[in-house]
This record gives sequence, C-alpha cells and structure tokens, in this order.
Amino acid sequence: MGFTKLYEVGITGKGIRVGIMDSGVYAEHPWLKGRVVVARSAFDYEDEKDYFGHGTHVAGIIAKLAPDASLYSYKILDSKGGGDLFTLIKGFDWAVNDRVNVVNLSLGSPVNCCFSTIRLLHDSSKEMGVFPIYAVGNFGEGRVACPAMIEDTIAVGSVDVDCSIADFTSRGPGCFFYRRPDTYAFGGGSKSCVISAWTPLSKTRPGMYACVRGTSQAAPQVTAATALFIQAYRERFGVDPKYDDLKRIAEVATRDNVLRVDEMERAVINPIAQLLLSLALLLVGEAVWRLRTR
Amino acid sequence: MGAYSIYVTNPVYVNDIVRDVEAVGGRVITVSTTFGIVVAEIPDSMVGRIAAKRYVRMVEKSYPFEVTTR
Repeated sequence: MGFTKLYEVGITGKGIRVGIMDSGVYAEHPWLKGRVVVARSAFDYEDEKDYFGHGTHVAGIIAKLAPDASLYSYKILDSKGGGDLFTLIKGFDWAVNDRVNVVNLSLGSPVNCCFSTIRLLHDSSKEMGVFPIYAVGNFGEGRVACPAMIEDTIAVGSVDVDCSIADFTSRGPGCFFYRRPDTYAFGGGSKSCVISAWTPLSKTRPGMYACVRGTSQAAPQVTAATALFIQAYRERFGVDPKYDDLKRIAEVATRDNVLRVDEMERAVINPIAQLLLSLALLLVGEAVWRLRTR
Repeated sequence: MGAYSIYVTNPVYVNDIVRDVEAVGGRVITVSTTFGIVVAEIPDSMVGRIAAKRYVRMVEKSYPFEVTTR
C-alpha cells in the first residue's frame, strides 16, 4: 500500500497548503505549472524565481506525491543555495500568516541551535498549526544538522534503493541526546538518486529534470505524506491533527517495523487503524517496507 | 555594528524594542509581529544593553544555512 491507494480513495492533498522554504520554485516547469499559489523572496537582491534549482527539485517531489496540494514557495536560500537565520525567520513568518498546513525545510546548518531562536520559531509555528518537516542533514554518523537536531522536530533521513540507510544520512544524538532522525524516506544513496523537476534557470546544471540525492530529497516525501494525512484526518474527524501526534506515529512506524504494520493491516476494518496504517507506510516509505518484508 | 535577531517575550513588545534599537544608534532591518522578533543592526557594544531589557527573551547573531543535497 502506497500513495496510489490513497489517490484512489480521494486522498490527494486537496485543500492542503504546502510551504517550501528553499531556493524558490520555477513555477513554469511542466510538473509545476499552475501549482504554485504564492511565491515570495526574502532577498532584496533576488526575485522569487529559482536560480539554483534545489527548490524546484523539492517542489517537484511534493507536487508529484500530493497532486492536489497547493504549493507556497518561500525563497529563503539565494542563487548560491545559502541563507541565514534572518531569512528563515521571514520564511516562518510567511508560513504562519499564509496559514500553510505543512512546510518543508530541506536545509540545515552545522551549528548547534539547541538553545536558539529556531527552537522558539518551531514551537510557535506548530502551535499555530504549521507542521515543519526537516531534512536531517548529510553529515553521516555522529553529526546532525540544525534545526533537525532539536528533539521535538520531525527529522527525516534517507534510505537507498537496497533499503539500507544511506551512508551520508546524519544520525546520532541531537539536542539532549535524543537520537535523530525520526523517520526515513527514499532520498537516494551511493547507487541511486531521486529524479524530479529542475530549473532551466540554473547556470550550473541546466535542464528540465535532474537526478539528485540527499536528505533534501527524502524530506519532501514525508512532507507530501503529511499533507495527505492532514487531509484524511480532517475529512475523518473534522479537525486538523496535532504535530506531536504525527511525530509519535512517525517514530513508532519507523521503530516497530513490519510487525506493527502487519497487526494494523489485519485490523483495517477500523477506519482509524487504516488511516494509521496508511500514514505509517507513507512515512517510513516503501523502501523500508520492502526491507522489513523481504 | 552587527546584525542580531531580538526575540521578545510577547509580540506586544515589538514596538518597544524598535524604539530601544533606535535609541542605541541601531537600525531595524525586519520585524515579525507574528513571532515577536526584530532583526536589527546594533553596535556590538550595545547588545548587552538590549539583552538586559526585561521583555527580551533572546538575542542571537545570525548563522548560515545551506541545502541538504549532496
């Protein structure tokens, strides 16, 4: 069971606003035409278009997996792929004011931000109904990127096609020694990569599609899954889910592998269990599912 | 002179901090009334004075972010 099963029952991200805090989005790309509702830039010296390519790649993954979600592009990384704390503040400000439901942050910093403005931004955002999903970083074992190191974030690592954890995925203790990441999705590895939209505006790698690897490519899959989950939850219960519940489900689904998924699959008569099963499978990704069942 | 983010304990204090920044010869770059954050350039010698205000929760210098793609 994957994303397609959910599309068949009308769970496509309809009515869900997905924010992308990145290098902007090339909205004219064939995969993204008509999908970007809002585009903003945090830079005085650059417009909202993507001159780097990364944001368009991330947007392509989300657009494909959550086909009816509206995309909100917040350009907080410039044409060299760099931003700072101040552009991040602007991004969060926009996301909250635009009432975005889930926001993808495929970015990181090597600094320690356990006691930082970012923690406060994260806490306030989730209280205001914005769900941030973070890439855990590509530093390998023992080092986790900021903001994914903050213990109550949803931090996403990457698995390879052979279902092994990608060697570049950051993992290890985050703030207060909490083990990161929480969950994994396919983000490519030594033998694979993720194909998605790319921007012709990029000077370094021109073209309409590109094959890229990293936790940046894993996080948008969890972002898209979260968008579908919020829609399903909203339709079922009439309210939006809580960020902390989502985080707990992601952790449990990843930790308890197929045994738990099997139990839930047998209990699909219960619509809530079915919903949880769908989310569990979506969050851990089909790669992890295959790993546990082979 | 350096750029700092100043996080206040409640967004209602944003105007007070803007006044304080200007009083010490600083310049406000952006204001987030949603979160109660003022980003401003302040003379480095005056940062302590701003941080000591009772309604200031955190003063922090910026640090860089980059994409997490290999």
